[in-house]
Amino acid sequence: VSSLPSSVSQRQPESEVIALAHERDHLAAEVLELRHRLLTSRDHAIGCEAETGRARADLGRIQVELSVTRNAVEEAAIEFDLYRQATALDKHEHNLAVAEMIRHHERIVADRIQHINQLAGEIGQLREENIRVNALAEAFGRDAAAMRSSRTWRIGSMITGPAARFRSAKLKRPRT
Amino acid sequence: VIGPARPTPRYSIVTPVYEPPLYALRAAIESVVDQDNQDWELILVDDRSPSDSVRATLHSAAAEDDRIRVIERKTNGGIVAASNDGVTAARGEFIVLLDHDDLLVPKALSTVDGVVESTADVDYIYSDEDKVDAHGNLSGAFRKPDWSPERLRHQMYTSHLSVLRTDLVREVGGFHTGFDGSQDHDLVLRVTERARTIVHIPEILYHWRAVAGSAAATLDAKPYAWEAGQRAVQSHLDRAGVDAKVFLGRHPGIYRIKRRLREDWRVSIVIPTRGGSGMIWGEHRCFVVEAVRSALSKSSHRDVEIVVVYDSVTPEAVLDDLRTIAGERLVLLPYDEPFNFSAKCNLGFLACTGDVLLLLNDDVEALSDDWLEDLVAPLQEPAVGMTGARLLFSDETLQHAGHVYGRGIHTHAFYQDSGDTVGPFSDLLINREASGVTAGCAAIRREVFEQVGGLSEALPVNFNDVDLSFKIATAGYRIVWVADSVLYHFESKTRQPNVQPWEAKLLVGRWGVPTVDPYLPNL
Repeated sequence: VSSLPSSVSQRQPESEVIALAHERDHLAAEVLELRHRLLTSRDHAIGCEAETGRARADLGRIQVELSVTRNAVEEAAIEFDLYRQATALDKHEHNLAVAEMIRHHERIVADRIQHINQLAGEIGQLREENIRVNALAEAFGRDAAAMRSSRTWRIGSMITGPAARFRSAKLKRPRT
Repeated sequence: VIGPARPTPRYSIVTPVYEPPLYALRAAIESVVDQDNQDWELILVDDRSPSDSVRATLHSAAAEDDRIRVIERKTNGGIVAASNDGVTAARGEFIVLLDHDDLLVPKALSTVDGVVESTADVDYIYSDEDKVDAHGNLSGAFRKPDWSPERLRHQMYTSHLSVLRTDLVREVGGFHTGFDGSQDHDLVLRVTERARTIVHIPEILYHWRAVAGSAAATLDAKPYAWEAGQRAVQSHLDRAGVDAKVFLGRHPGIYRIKRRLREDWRVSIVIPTRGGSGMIWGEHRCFVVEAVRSALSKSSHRDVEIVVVYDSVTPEAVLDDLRTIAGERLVLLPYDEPFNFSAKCNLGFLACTGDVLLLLNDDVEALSDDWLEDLVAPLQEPAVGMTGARLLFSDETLQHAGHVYGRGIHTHAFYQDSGDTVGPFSDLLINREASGVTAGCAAIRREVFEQVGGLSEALPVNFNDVDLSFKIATAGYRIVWVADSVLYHFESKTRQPNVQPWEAKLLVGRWGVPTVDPYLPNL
């Protein structure tokens, strides 16, 4: 955020007022834009948090399912082993199938963890952006306040005030 | 008191008794004895029943089971006095209310016990219920909403089974005289004002006996109870500091609450528009002009700001009409980006100066007097984040009575039902909590809208209000549908929302697939 241009103080009062009015409009537009960005950033952050929460819950469920599956596989392995001993089947094939099943579930968990980490990263960036935008908005607010309290602004207001009041009175319509 | 004192049980079942049919009384006692969970005492308070057979039945039950205790009142004092005798005698950690002719299902206490074990600070538990006739036939299953304080003010919906922490019941002074017939409603209102945790068990644990003259059989059997309920709700609102007056509702057992809106609140009505026109009731009209005209004429609230966010195609004559109608209260904001409902509303919010933001579609017409006051006033309670209105199509069928999110879909409850439908359990006559409301007409406190990041601009057309509702609910605020704030919404009944797969994906990615709506579980 820059301070008032040095050229402002060198101009004639009337042109200074016009320049200040432009500066004010410009500042107001920028503040509006910053507030808009703040609002949408907040929405994005909340959305990411909601997604992360859901992903965490999904992960918890999958971990439970994985645990149940592992137990079932182990039990099945024992049963199968007994069966193999009884029927002399090849134990190697059975082990491969069990290992593949466990690897499959581990891949699902790993994918979920990666997704959560990605979302967490996005949330961190958004929080930083929020802080930055907040700081910018505050700085604009301070500059605008400083500008309004300046001598040049007061002179400008004295010059443009009557015209503004006249315009305002003209715009007033009867209330329905 | 007849019957021995045993080691302290967890549950004290309190049953005031006055001249019930003997078969029903025996069945009620048996339903307690048959409980899966045996950690109870049954306190039967006879309120001087005229029949000796009633007392004989009570004594016989106490003789057979030493967990059953009988209190005989010397005079008939009414249900409040009898219930209070039961509360005084109760030794359990929780009081379970059972009427003298009703039935507990066998798993009632064990199910309640599961909640007590898993929720340390639970102070009030209620369950679903149904009705049982003299032949044992069950009907009228009431699948209740999760905790809904606004609804409880309009209807004693928690009713049976109710389980209350004994210390808290005593702390609030037990049952109060003067509320006979609605003494439960009064007590539950007072207990829930202080309760730390309230739990709804979505299972039928109680059969309510529907016999001639009972409130279960016919709601207008006890008109004095209705008036007592009105007094109970008024007292509750007075205690809570809610500036409102309670009236009897359109049907027995329900109430209407008329809140006063504080005069110093500025309400900013934000209306996105393209200045469109159409035929309504055989007349050509410009929608936004009539929306603003009716919004202002049907409200007496003084501090109203009208913020119109208009597309560049909006005719200048429309803007002139708006200036004429709204005068200095009008703020006109041009919008020249591709259509994005959320962005237009957000722009309106950023420009408005109100304490409350009222999002309004341009194709509405306010119908009820004080529509704005009724809609906005509930937001004076900090726990309420957003309110929505009753919207009618031009043929008076329902366009909006709150959202319902369940069975995998997000939709409008009671869509296209007749406008004068009462709804199951008077759902359409009373203010109640809702999972969400349409942004076609929704009021939100300024700080709440800001806190949740406004309407998501990632959802420019569909689901932006559903997403907003989820965000507001997740932030811990209640969303209330207001039955008495009524507007027409001239949306086409045949319009099918053109939902894009990515929109649904975004919504479900954030909030998941809805299963059972917490506030309208029957739908």
